[in-house]
This record gives sequence, structure tokens and C-alpha cells, in this order.
Amino acid sequence: MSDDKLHGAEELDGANGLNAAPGLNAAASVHGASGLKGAGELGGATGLHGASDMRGATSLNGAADLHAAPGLHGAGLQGAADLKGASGLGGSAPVSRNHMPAPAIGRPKWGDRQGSRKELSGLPENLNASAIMPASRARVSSRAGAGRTLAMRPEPYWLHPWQITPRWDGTRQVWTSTIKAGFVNGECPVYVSTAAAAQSVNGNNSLDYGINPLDGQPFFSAWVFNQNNQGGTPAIAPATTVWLPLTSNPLIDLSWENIGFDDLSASNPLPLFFQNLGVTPATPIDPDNIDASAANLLAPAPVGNRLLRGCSLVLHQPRTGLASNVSIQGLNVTQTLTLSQIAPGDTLQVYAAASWSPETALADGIDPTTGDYTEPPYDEILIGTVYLLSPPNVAAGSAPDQTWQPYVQHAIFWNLMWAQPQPPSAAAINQDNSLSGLVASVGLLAGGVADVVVDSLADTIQDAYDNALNILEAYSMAGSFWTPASGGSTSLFPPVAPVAITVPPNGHGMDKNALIAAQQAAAALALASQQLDPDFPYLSIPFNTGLL
Amino acid sequence: MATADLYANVAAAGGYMSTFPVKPGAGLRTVYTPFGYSSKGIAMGRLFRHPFYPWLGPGGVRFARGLVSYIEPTINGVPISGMVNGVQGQQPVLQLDPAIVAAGDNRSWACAEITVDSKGQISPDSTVVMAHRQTWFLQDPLGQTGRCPVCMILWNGKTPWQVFHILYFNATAVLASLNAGGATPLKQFFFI
Repeated sequence: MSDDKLHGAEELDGANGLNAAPGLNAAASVHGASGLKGAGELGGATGLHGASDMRGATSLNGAADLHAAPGLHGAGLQGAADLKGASGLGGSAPVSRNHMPAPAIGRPKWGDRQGSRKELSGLPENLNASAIMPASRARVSSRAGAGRTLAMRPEPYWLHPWQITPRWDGTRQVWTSTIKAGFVNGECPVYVSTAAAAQSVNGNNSLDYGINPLDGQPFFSAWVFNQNNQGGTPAIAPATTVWLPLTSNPLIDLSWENIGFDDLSASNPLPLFFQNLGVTPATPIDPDNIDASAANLLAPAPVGNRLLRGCSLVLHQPRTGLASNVSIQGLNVTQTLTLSQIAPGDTLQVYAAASWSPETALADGIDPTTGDYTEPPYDEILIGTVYLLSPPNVAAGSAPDQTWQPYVQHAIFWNLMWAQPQPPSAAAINQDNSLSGLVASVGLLAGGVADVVVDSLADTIQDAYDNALNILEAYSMAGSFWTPASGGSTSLFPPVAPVAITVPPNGHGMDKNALIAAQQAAAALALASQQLDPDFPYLSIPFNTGLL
Repeated sequence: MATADLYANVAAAGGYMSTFPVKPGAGLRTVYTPFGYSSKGIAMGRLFRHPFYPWLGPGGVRFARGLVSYIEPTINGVPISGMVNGVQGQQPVLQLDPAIVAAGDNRSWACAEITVDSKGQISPDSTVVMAHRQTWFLQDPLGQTGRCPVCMILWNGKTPWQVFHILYFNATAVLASLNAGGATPLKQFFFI
């Protein structure tokens, strides 16, 4: 049948061939129609029981009853109300407002599909009439008082290294997170935990941490975790330290720092992104006007104010550090440089911290002439920050719970390489022209590492300070991370900086370069206010040529 | 049946009207129609595999094409992409030897190893091969060979069961001379 006008057709039972019928509007009953290939529009068709093959039917708006229609490939099903038993919906467009079993979830494909996302799992079998049924690559989120948000590709099925996934642990009532396994030089960091903490994850040591790559056995399956087992309940030595590689996807407990309105220190920066979502900035305390500051602290929150919490996830790389001891006898200054060793038990790891800031520069507040100075025996880099955004009008100081919305801002996106400089040698120091006038020699042996003793004559204490500090800065053992990307793959937010727009002296026109720069800055500011992470291909860290 | 009645029936059956608004999230455009909300998603991105993407199979590991210092690594003399003189052939497979895995450590690494040319330099005459190693680390003070980890393989007994991609981009090897002025010359490869 090729009739292109079947409006108002009441009964089409047994119509076997409706190929290319473009208009079946208001067809009330199409029982048993086995071939509806190419039917362009079936709007308002209320009964399509047993329609077995509807491939290519592009529009089924308002089709109320599609029981047992097994083949609906490629159909647009907006508003289809009842699709129970519709078994073949591959390729159909997103379906909204309907009754439908969860579509079969295909196995995620391997590989990095740029911009693609993980398909959903765990969808309820039957949603009520007011529910929205997400199709593949879609997600419906619902929050009380805030309506529903239908989002596409909400969660990537390809996660970049170091990608953080926060989640609410309903059993322990805490927020945790996982980190997609990243590598440093080829080594995977661990999350250092204790058996007690791991046991408390679900209270009975039954959380599946996966397989320990070090021995190929499940975590906590060793006899040591069960040696005190009595009565069938595994007992674990609480203080036992366990190293959980990121490849086993361990849950990392998060701790929080106040940001924004109830940040009493007013020292934590509030991203513009969250200001746009309703977070009121903190009011700094004015030491010269305590009364006014106290009044500000006690002032009620603005209507609709939202609170913000932050937690940093940090990558920790142990290394040797440079230790310095300076002794001054008259005009003779002796500086002894020693390598401090890696702290026992330290290892490449990740950890969560409510408050974290990178190590300050060496020259800040350090006087190497007044005593010993030892570099920290580790390098650290921020992986990312997890933010929790409260619902509106939550009381200041509230602890975050499951009603808070998590956001993640990443700082690194790719696997890393890491290296640190070679230890300073007397020959190298003597060869360094910038430090001429110093005499360095290999001194005592300590811990298997030769100390380097630098003797110099200083005119003043200030000279001694400068010399000692110069040596520390020049021969710092601080390492650096980089991304092995041949110098490519960088997607940064453009720099945001105030740009003065000037008028040329001749008075003709505007400064075009400044205008363009101002537009770029405005665009960058707008982008940073809309998203926390830059777009693919993200950011790569350049190689530190100082290592060469 | 009048269209309005049909709409009413459909609305009654499906409950299209909601007391909550539906807001478009990332990647969606939401349109409200008399039949309810219609959402349209943006098209998926193109399929993209990073260089050196590893496939773990029963015979070993295959790799997507990648370059180290503009040289494509080989396995048994065949480029990892299987492309020889512009002709696509079968991709070579890096055999995984269970004996290489250290006792008590169920990990091993597939690495790209670059060897300098006869002049001790990295040049088009250098060779890059894929190798299965016990560790990603290689200390070669003379700077003849540099090792760059490409993927890590987890083992379950004598069976490789999971592979983790490490090197996502083409890499450039740099041979650096360290401890300048020192008595013993020391060279080290950096992969940047």
C-alpha cells in the first residue's frame, strides 16, 4: 500500500504492507501491521499492537500504545506514552515521557571516542508517569525544588588519566571519590590507607577492592587479615597499612574546607563558576574594624545563597632533598650540602586534603644562615579539586550530605613523567661561573652520600646569606613533572588579563590589537564562568628544560 | 477521533504534564511541545584512538600507530601499525612472556626502546622496538638505549588479564648529558 494519506483510519488490522506510507496521523488502531517500513509519520496512532517491523519510521509523536512492537529502529519516539515490550529500539532518538523498559545496555567500546560518554546502567525498570526516561548517553538528574535536568553525555565512558569521580557513600554518609589510574614514569600511584579505614568503608570488610596487582589475589584475602577471625567475622589488625593501587579503583575519603560565604578566613579563592551558581563570596575580616567584621559575620545569608566546600586531591612523589647547614666563623663561611633521603615508607601516592597549597618558593621566609634548612623530600602536584555545592538557603557551616552537588576541576589530564636534577657535585659547583669565588670540596660521608662543603669568604653576613641561598636555589633537588606529548596537546583557557584599549595618537580608529585582546579576555572570562575544565585535548605540562 | 481528543487521551495515558520544568543540560536542546518535552542531542564526536593504544588479546598486545622521535616502533621488524611501504598489512603482536614477570609482582610493561645510531645520536637511523619488560626503568649510563613505558600489563598468575595505557601521544626522545664536569659521564634519556 502506498497511500500517503490515511488520516483518521480507524482500523488497519492485518495491514501487511504499509511501506512508504508517510502520513498515518490519528490512525487509531494498527494491530498486526507487520510492515511499516518508511512510514514517515504515525502521530497520534494509539494502537500499534504487534507492529513487527517499523524500521525507518521517523516520527511516532504521540503514539500511545506500542505493545510488543519489536522493531522500531530509527524511530523518533518523542512523547510515545507506552512502549512496554517494544524490544527493538536500537538507534531510536531520545525518548521522553513514556513507559518503557530500560534499553539493553551495550558493552562500552574500547578506545577513546572523543566526546563520547558511558552508557547508563542501573536504570529503574519502570518509571512513573511523570518520570523522564533517558536513552543511551543521556542522564536525568532531579533535585527537590530545582526541577529536572536532562543532560547528554553526562559521564564519559572514556576517562582521562587522573579523572576524579566523586560519589556519595550512603552507608557511611560521607563523600568519597575514585581516580582513574594515572601513571608517573610508568608507575601507578597507590592510595595509602589502613585496614581499619578500609574496613569502615562498608563496615565488614566486604568491599571489593579488586585484585592486588602485587600478588594477584583479592585485597584483604591474605591470612593476616583473618588471623584474629573469631565467629566468622573477619578481624583485621586496625593499624595495618595497605597500599591500594589506583588500578584497583580505591575509594578515597574526602575532607572539606569551607569556600565562599562561610569561609571565616576568607582566604580560599572562590571560582567565578560558582559565584554564577549562587555562592556568595566571603567577607574578609578587617582587623582595623572588628565590630563591622563581626556584624558581617553575624549577618544573615542572602536569600538563595549556596554554600561551597572544596577538597584537593594531590599526587605525592618522594625524592631526595637538599639539606644545608651554614656555619660562620669570622669571615669564613662554610656551607655543607647533604642529600636528605626519602622518608621510610614513603611511596608514590595520592591523598586527599581539605587544604593544600604547593610548596612555597625557597627564598620565601628562609634564612639559610640562621640554621639548618632541608628541602621537603617529595614533590607534589595537584590532581584536581572536588567541590560540593549546597542547595539554596542551607545554614552556614552545614556539613555536606547527599543533597549537595559535586563538581570537579582537574589540574592534570595526562600521564606524567617526572625527574629531578642530579645531586650537586663539588666539580659542578666550582665550574659554575655564577658562583665563582667559592671553593667546594667533597667532605664527610653521611648516609652513603658525599657531603659537599663550600667554603667562602664573606664580606658581610648579607653576602653569606646570598651565597648560601644562591647555592640552595641553584642546586635544589626539586623535581618536575611533564607530559610526554612532544610538546603538543594543550588546551588552555586563554589568559584572562585586563587589557587597556588605547586610542592611537593620530586619533583615527581604535587600537585593533588591544580590542582583539580584550575580546579574547572577555571570551575567556565567559568560558571560565561556564565550565571548570578546559575542553579536550586538555592541558599538557611542558618539559622543564632545566633538567638537560 | 478529533485531534484534540486524541491529544487529551495521550496526555491522560502518558502524563505528559509535569509539575517540574525540564531543563536542558550539557549537550542537549529541550523543546516543549503539546506532546511533551522533546530533547535533541548533539552528534557524537569522531572516533579517535590515541597513539600506542594497546589491545590485549590472547596472543599478546597490539598497538595503534605511534611514533618515538618520528620513528615508528617495530615488533619483529614490522611496524606496529602493520603499514609497510604504504601497504596495510597485519598488525604485529607483541608476545607476552609470563616468565618475565617478577615473583610477587604481577605487573609487566610494554616499552618502546630506542637505540642511538652508530654515532651515538638520535637520528632517522636510530631504531625503536617494542619490548616486553619486567620494569619500566632502564639505567644505561652510556646512553645507548632509552626505554619509554607504553602500557602496563596486569597478570593473574600466568595469564595477562588487564592492560593500562600509559603513553597517549607520540613522544620525542632527548639524550641528555648529566653531571657536567663530573669525572664519570652520565647520560640519560628523557621522553618528552
